[in-house]
Amino acid sequence: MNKMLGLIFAYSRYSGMRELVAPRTAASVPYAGRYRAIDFCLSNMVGAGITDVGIIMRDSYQSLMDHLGSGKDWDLSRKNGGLFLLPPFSYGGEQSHSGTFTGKLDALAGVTSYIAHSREPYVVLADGDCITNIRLRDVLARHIETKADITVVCSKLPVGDPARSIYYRFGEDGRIVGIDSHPERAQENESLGMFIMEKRLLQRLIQLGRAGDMVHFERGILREQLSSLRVLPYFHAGYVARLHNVAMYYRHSMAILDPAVREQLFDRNNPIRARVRDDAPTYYSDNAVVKNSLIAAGCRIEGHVENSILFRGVYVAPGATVKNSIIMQEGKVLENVFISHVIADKYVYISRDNMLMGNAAYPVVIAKHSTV
Amino acid sequence: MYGKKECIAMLLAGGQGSRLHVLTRHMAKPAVPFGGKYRIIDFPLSNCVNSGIDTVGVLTQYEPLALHAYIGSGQPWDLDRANGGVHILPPYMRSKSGEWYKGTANAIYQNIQFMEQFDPEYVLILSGDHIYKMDYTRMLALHKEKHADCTIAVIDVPLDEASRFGILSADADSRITKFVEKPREPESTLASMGIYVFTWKVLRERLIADENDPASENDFGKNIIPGMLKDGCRMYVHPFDSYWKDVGTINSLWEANMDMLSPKCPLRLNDPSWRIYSRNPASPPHYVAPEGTIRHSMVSEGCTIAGTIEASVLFNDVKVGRGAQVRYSILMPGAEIGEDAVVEFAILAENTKIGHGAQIGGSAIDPLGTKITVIAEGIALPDGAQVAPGTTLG
Repeated sequence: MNKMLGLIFAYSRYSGMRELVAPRTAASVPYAGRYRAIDFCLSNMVGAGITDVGIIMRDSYQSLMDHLGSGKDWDLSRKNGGLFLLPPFSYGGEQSHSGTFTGKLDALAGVTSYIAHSREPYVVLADGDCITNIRLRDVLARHIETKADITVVCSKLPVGDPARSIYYRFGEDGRIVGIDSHPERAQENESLGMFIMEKRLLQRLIQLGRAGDMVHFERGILREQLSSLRVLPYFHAGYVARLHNVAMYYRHSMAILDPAVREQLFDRNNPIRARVRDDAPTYYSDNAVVKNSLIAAGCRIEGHVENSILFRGVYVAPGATVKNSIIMQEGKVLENVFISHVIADKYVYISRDNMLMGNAAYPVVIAKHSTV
Repeated sequence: MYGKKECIAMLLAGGQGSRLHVLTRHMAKPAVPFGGKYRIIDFPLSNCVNSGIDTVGVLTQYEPLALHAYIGSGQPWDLDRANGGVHILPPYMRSKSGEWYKGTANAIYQNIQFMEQFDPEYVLILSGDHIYKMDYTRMLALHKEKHADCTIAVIDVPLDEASRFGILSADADSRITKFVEKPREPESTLASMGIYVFTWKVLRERLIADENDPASENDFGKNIIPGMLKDGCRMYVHPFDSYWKDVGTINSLWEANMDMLSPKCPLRLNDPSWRIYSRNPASPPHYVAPEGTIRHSMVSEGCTIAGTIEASVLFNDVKVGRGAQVRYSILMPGAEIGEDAVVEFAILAENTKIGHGAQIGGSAIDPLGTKITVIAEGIALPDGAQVAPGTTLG
């Protein structure tokens, strides 16, 4: 079988995400009631039969390590392979560059020993903060069928913040001939930061990059090699959420209230696994009123919840109203609170009679462990 | 092969639970779903782990496939251990003969070799029939303090129910003076919970003697306990006064599920200091549609609710269509309720499908108890179907 080694870049922290990335990286941001962004990427890999996954980290990775543990919740606690956490300074020696890094190519150069050690013939690179449900096995099949050197997954329509995104231009034969990075305005054919290639090719690119002092992957080595390599696109039509800033986080969170979006993200045949917390089912009291909301396990709802997303272990007291809001794990909303367009990070406590309102373009963000 | 363990647990999980009818047709009673995300066996297994007992033998016999698949490596209960952990113990062929587990005592007897691998001082005998949270370390401490041969967990039951249980009498020092299995005229209301701590050396001798007695039914309640008492063994009671419920009948299973909804129920499922572990499905959070209403209910992950839910327990991945009404019911994983259907006082087993506008069960309260309607696993009822209260389909 043609198997892949999975490598996930989990170190990005977009400043537009404000308080949400203060305690963590974008890949570790909680999403959709019980997940972290990286769960989608990990589950896509596990769903494609990948049993060897390396997570490339740089700083602020405590949250991520705590979340991933041994990888057993994703079935990645394996005797051969399994989950590997790759912080900077993982390897020493001549071959591996040690220390911190700025671009993806630079980051890969720090883990060449890990890549060399893997027995899989193919490698898939992915951004840990790109949320989508994709059959990577289909992408690999296409990659082999088209005899591409590199297959890049892209979205026809733009999804990300242009200042954080990369777009492709195609030649007449469908090959990628140009790469536009971080333009002022969004374009078509946005890169989803997912690449499949033979492991040997990746190793060669890393070597070339090191020789040429290049740190970036797409806007560095890939752009340089476009004329000599067959780089083909794989268009992914499923729902994609990118969390480049708080407004995007809010918009993509609210989107999951749409059944069509949920169906795409939570495809039963490619399940997304989350860290198991062993919560009891959610309890609704006699006075609970809940409309158009996504509710995780372990909550206790005694108030009014509308157009909202509640993570695990949230409490909504009698007389409290939660509208158009996202309350992360263990949030407590006490009596007679009214909130609308609020994103409350984990362990936020909103004491009685408070009123907080933001709007969709600028939601109120309450930092982790805050008391209001 | 293993290191010594002070105390190991043996969980009797081979019972059919015939009074649960269609719910146990393809699975042993301990595998029956309970409380919106659990199976009955999660309770004794979690109690073991939370009590620091990391070696559990699970004795299976009747329809064991669902149970074996569910327990797997024991990882959800943190019982995948290098030294100890959970071990599934079905009956097996020996070099000379092989036989089914004849009774509870015989089942343990047949696993003497298994237990001796751990060279235990004490053995805790449990059953997979009850919903309760109990710290077994306190019972074990009492057992040690009294230098007992056997300690039995007991609960005070109403006098009119006492004849359903093994009833004990004890002196002021908690020492057992009398034990009668299902007495017609009970002398006390202290009922055995079927939870025993034995000093292994004593139990081992007793099991061998019992096996050699052709007149014995090889049962703990009928033979081992009365025999030990007769011979003057040191036997004590360990009183328990919190929530404990046998879920051996359709009505008691339904009632115990309803109990979990009550804020006054002493057993709190969501107590982080004594979690009940279970195998978790990979389903997203549940979704309540704009037209959905949920009151006084428990809802698990993966559900989609567009109808009205009252006083009900919904397991994972249940779908309730627009205009449907579900009251006083238990909907097991994957059940689907069509639009405008009405489901009342019912237990719908896994993957049942109820057509649009169907009428399942009803609120008729019988003087002899609530009439619960039961629909067996995988049954699909057409649009407009009518199922009378108290019916069992399947």
